Amino acid sequence: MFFLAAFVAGLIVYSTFRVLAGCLYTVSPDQRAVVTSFGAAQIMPGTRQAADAGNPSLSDDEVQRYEYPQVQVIRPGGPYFKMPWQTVHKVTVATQAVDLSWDPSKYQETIEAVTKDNLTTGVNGQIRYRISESNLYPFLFGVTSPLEHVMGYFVSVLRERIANFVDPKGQSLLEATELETGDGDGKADAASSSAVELSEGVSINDLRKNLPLLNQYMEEQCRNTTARYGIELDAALITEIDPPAEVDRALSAINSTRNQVAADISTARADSEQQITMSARAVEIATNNAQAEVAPLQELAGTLASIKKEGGSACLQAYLRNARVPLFKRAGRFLIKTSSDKGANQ
Amino acid sequence: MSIIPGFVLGLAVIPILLGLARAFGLYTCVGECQSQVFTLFGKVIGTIDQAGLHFPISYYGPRAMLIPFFGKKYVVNTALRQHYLRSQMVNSEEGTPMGVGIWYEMQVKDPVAYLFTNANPDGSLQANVTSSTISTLSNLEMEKMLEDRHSLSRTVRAAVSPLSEKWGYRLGSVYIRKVEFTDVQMVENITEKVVKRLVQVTSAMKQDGENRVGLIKSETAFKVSQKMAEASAARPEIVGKKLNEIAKLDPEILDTVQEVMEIDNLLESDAAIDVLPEMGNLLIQLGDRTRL
Repeated sequence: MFFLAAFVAGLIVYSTFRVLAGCLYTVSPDQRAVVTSFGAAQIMPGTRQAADAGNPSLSDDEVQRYEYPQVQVIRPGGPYFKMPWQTVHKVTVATQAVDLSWDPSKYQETIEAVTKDNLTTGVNGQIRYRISESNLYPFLFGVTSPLEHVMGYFVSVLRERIANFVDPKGQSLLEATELETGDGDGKADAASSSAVELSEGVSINDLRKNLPLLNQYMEEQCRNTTARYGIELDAALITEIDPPAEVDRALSAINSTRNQVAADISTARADSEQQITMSARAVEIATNNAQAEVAPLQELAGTLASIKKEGGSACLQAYLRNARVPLFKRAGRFLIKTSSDKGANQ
Repeated sequence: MSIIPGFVLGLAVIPILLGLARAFGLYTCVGECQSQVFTLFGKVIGTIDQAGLHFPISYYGPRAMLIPFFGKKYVVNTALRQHYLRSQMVNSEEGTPMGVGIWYEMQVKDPVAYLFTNANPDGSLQANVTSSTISTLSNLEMEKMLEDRHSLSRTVRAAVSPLSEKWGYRLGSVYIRKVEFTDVQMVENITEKVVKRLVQVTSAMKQDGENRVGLIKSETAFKVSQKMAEASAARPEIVGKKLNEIAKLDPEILDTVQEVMEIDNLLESDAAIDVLPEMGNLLIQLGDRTRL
């Protein structure tokens, strides 16, 4: 009788210990939890069919390969109770960051990528991600190492994009707006286009100029990682594209030359404007001087015309004789004709 | 005295019973993305791939009790896995040696085939992917190899999938993750080529800048020359126009105006003046001799 009572007491102690020690749990604010009973997750009814119905970010083939149900998610809070045969799987859904060069099977500081012009460059950056609360099944159960899958996919897409990248705006090293003469001259345009043709194929420069575009493309391409691996990509930040040192120096020379050319053109334009302005002033000055010369002519002609109108030609001659009078005051000597001379002349 | 053994037995009875039940295969727990394959007397008697608590006896009858003694339970993970094959050597159509990295995903679809058809399915799958990659990529143009990776990946996947399915695998996504030049000399040559191209661009840019400056200067010289000519022509145009106007009205007035202006200017100058009658050439000569 005592044996039976002790046996039951032991049974109760064991059960109580198991229940109290392991059956209460909480979920912190940055966590979500999934409970499995005897290894089976609590699947939301009908979600497998919904996933099959179509996911815009996946192709038909991919929908079949990445077919995952949705599970019952325990949200932050607690304490929650679970049975001894249940297991709680907690995941943090806070945004996390991983270096682009992260590879669990190899140490590397940067990843190599070949550009469209076959140049081997180093690429580095960071991707920010968070575990998708709406698709926890693949992260917890469906994929062995989800982050490795995301990185494998991301790096593959990135390298292909770098290998194909050309400047969508026409990849001009010479900025047309910087070097325009301003008058839309055809010769200038032709010179610009020849320089642009030469610059084609220097994709390292295009990549550096269009980093935001590259990041945006990567984000778009990686949207389907949520459906594939249960990881939602928050941002792709490619921060470094490092070509070999000699290429870097050549790129610096291009930038220096571009600045020098822009400065030379600016100076030439300023000189040109100054000279044209000065020549316009010269025209104004010459015109004013001529007007000044003409003014007394006009006035005198008007005056003489009025004299002639009143007194006729005789009066005009008289005025002329009168105008000559001051000459006699200044003259050194005079020769006066006599009347006989006058008669001989006539 | 029987209290302590009774209490200890009470504490241990549940774990012992559960252990015995597991040992005799009375129940089994199957996890998510997991399959359990049961064999008895060298034959596969069944597979359980639904997650949760299962009683093999309900599937296979009393013979399930014999599994622990004359059979075996295999646990197979059916979750998606991945593998990266680094630096597989291929030659392009031009003969360039290239290193190719292949990243692929796989998943056990048929646990029985996975366990018993091939002794090393992982290794065989790797070999198949490698072989298929090399045969797909070899003798392709280098440019295509570098730029058209996704379609090539799909080709590799299509080639490998039928083989892998025989061994219970389902191949997931396959990507050509890396295409690299393995020859250091070649990498240096390409770098040099790019540097030369950049230098060429620099020279072109410089020349273009000089041309533009020259164009601006010549256009300026042309415009300035036009303006200066305009300035030079201003006086003749304006004065001549006015004289014409006066002459049209009355030529005598114009003569008078000119004469008056001549007199005024003569008076303003400090020149020595001799007043002579008309037709007085002889007298002028006389006057000059007198001065001497």
